[in-house]
Amino acid sequence: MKYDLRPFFLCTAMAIFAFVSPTPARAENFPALNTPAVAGHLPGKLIWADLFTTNPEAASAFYCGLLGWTAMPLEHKGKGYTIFSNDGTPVAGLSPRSVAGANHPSRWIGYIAVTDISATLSAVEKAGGVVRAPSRKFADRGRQAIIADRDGLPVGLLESSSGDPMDGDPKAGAWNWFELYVRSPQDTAAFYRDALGYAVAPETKPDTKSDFVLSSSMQGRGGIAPMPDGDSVKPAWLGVIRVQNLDATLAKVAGLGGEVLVAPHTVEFGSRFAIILDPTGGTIGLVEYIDGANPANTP
Amino acid sequence: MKTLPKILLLSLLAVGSQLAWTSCVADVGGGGYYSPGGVWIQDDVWLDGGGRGWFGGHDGGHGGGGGYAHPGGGGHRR
Repeated sequence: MKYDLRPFFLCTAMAIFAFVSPTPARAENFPALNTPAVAGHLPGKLIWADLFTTNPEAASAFYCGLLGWTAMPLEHKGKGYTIFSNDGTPVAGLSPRSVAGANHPSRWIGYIAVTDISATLSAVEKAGGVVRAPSRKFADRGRQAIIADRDGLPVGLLESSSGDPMDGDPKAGAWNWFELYVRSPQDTAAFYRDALGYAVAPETKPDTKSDFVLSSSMQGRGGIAPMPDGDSVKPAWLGVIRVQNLDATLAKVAGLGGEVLVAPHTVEFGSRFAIILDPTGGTIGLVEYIDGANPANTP
Repeated sequence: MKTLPKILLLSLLAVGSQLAWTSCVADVGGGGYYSPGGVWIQDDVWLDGGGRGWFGGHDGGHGGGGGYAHPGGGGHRR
C-alpha cells in the first residue's frame, strides 16, 4: 500500500517555518490607554513608558513595591511583556531584553502622544531624527513607534486608538513630566518643536537661562536642561512620576534594592524632586506636590 | 515524490534567508549577543545606555547632584 506523503511533509515544513520564524510576536493584549475610550487627544503628552530590562523579575518587584503598581504578565509565543497598572489604570510596560553576556542596564523609554504617527515619523526624519522601530499597530492600543532624537535618545510615539489620558492632576504613581539633559538645549528644543510640534519657551527662572520648556495644549510637558560637560557624559531622558510622599517613597528604595541618586530637593513651584536608580539600572525621577497643591494650577 | 526534497529544501532556504535578513543574532562585542526578543520590538544595541549615567555623580567624577528638573506637575501652564 502506498501513501501520498506530500501533504504530511508540506505541513511539517510549514510548522517548522512558523516555529522558527523571527517575525516579532504580536501583542494583541496590549491594553487600551482609556477604558472606555475618550475622544480627546493631547499630542505632546507623556502617556506611556516601557522599561527594557534583562532582569524582569527584579524590576517588577521594585516598581510594584515602590509605587504600588500591579503587574500583569502577558505572553505570546514564549515572549513576555508585563503591563504595570497604577490604581487600575495601565501606565507602563516591561519588555524583557534578550541580550546576554554583557552588562546592559535597564532603560526607560517614554511614549509621547501623537495624532498621526506616519506624519510625525516623516517630520522626525526631516528634523534630523532616526526611526528606530517603525510604526506598528496593536489591536486595542493604537499605533506606536520608537525614534532616536537629534541627541540619539530613544523616544516612543503612540497614536492611541482610545484617546489620551486627560490632563489634570496625575494620580500618585502616574507619569508627570519628562526631562531631557543634552549638550545643546536650544538645538534639542528646535528638534522637538519641528518634529513633534511643541511650543518651546525659554525657562524663566534667572538661574536657568539655557533651559527650555516644551508645551502643548497650553500645558508644560517636559523640560530640556544642559548636561554637565565632559566627553564621558551622555545625554539622558528622564521620566518623572508623581508620588504622594517623597520621603516615604525614598525610604523604601534601598530596601527594595535601589539607590537614591539625587537627594530630594525643592524645584519649581515648591515641588520636591529626586532621582532614583532601580536595582536593574533604570533611572526615574520622583516628584511630590508640596501640601498636595498641583503646580499645574500655579499661575 | 521528487517534489518532497524540493519542498523541504525551499522551506529551509526561506527560513535561513529570513534569519539572515532580520539579523536575528548580532555580535555585540564584549561577549554579548542580541537576538530576537520582546513582544513589541527586537532587541538592539540602541536599547543600551541605561544606568546611573552622571545622575549619581559616580561616573567620571562630575560631582554628584546632577539632574535639575523643572517638574511643574501635570504641566504648569505656559
